[in-house]
Amino acid sequence: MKRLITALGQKAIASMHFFYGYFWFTISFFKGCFNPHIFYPSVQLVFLRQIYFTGVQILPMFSVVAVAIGLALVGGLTQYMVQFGAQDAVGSVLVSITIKHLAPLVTMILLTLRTSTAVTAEISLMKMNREIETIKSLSINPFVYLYIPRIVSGIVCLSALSVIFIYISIIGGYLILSFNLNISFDFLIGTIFDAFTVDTLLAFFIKIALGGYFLMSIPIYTALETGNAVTEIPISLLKGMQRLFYAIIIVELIGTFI
Amino acid sequence: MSNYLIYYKDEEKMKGWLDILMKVVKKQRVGLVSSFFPIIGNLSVIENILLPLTYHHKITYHAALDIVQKDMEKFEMLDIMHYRSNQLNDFQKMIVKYLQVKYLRAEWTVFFSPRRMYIAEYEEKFHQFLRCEDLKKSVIIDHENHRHLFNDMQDYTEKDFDTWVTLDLKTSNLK
Repeated sequence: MKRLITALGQKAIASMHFFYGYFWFTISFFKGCFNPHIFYPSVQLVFLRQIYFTGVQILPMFSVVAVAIGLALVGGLTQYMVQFGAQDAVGSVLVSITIKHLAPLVTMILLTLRTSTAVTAEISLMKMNREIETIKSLSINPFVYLYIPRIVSGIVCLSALSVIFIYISIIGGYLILSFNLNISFDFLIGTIFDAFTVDTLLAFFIKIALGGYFLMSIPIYTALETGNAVTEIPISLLKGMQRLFYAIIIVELIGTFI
Repeated sequence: MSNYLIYYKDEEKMKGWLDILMKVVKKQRVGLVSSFFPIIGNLSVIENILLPLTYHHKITYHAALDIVQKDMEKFEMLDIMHYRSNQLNDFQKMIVKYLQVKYLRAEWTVFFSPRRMYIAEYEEKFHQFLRCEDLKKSVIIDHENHRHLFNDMQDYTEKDFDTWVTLDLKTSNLK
């Protein structure tokens, strides 16, 4: 019993420590956003590179996943709904599932697997090799040069890829199974637009903004906790991914309640 | 010209000085050339050199490249400008760090334990480098055991670290 209480206490302290540190990290992020240097070429270059690594290199794999889910969802679901005479509800079901939930969630998971892990490893190594100290010694604010471009690129790429996911899954899914569906493309798009509400858009944008921020900021914050030993890098990676998956669940819950 | 030599006796003192200089860096431009601050591994040589220039000044990458071109030629680094730090020898790494500091346009250039940055075979090259470079305000901080390496340096006078920080950097001791 004593051991259990000690373990719970340790967990609680560690969690409080994380939330406290992460809160100040977030404050520093917003402060850094007003730094004029974020518009200077060196920072722009980091931002563009991160966009390329996060949003462009993933496209082939991402498109395949979007088409596969589109086939199952748009094709399969629409087919069943038409069979049961519920074609009028196709739009609202697709909007609710694809736009509100699946597009941000699938994109977040794919970006977590591909980019967040890479960012954790990169920043951990930089911390361990004292390269962040080098940046500070050159009077460069690491928030402005290293963290803000990565976090902003996370938000930009998550929004762009989620929109691409919606297009590919709906259009791809319909086109591949069009011979089997008894509804026209005009009808499908029309019902989707009819089902669109402000709440859907709001939920989509809140999930994108929060998800994009967590996607990069949690791995960066966790990487900054890395010590000087190489063995601490995989531990940071593990911790960062765990925290990020909790964050994804929170984002999903927020989206559900909007 | 204000060029100084500062010697330390023990490592602890040196680390304390490094911490003081890191606090100074936050307030004024002091360029630190030291093995404690390695060049950034995921950037190429040229990107490392251009980093302070393109961060502190709104200057395009190509315009910045034109500015550093002459130095790249002088230090025979044009061929290796796209190399990463793991492809450079110790002396080349030191030159990259020096050029970072030069284009930071720091008031003072501080070579912190230069002997730690390169192996003995580059000793003469380092002295030649110091003789050829037009360093108006520079400081070499090294271990007392390396005093003999700087005996022939006419342009440098020995100074106490605290005096330099207080009088030249015009900063009260930041201990």
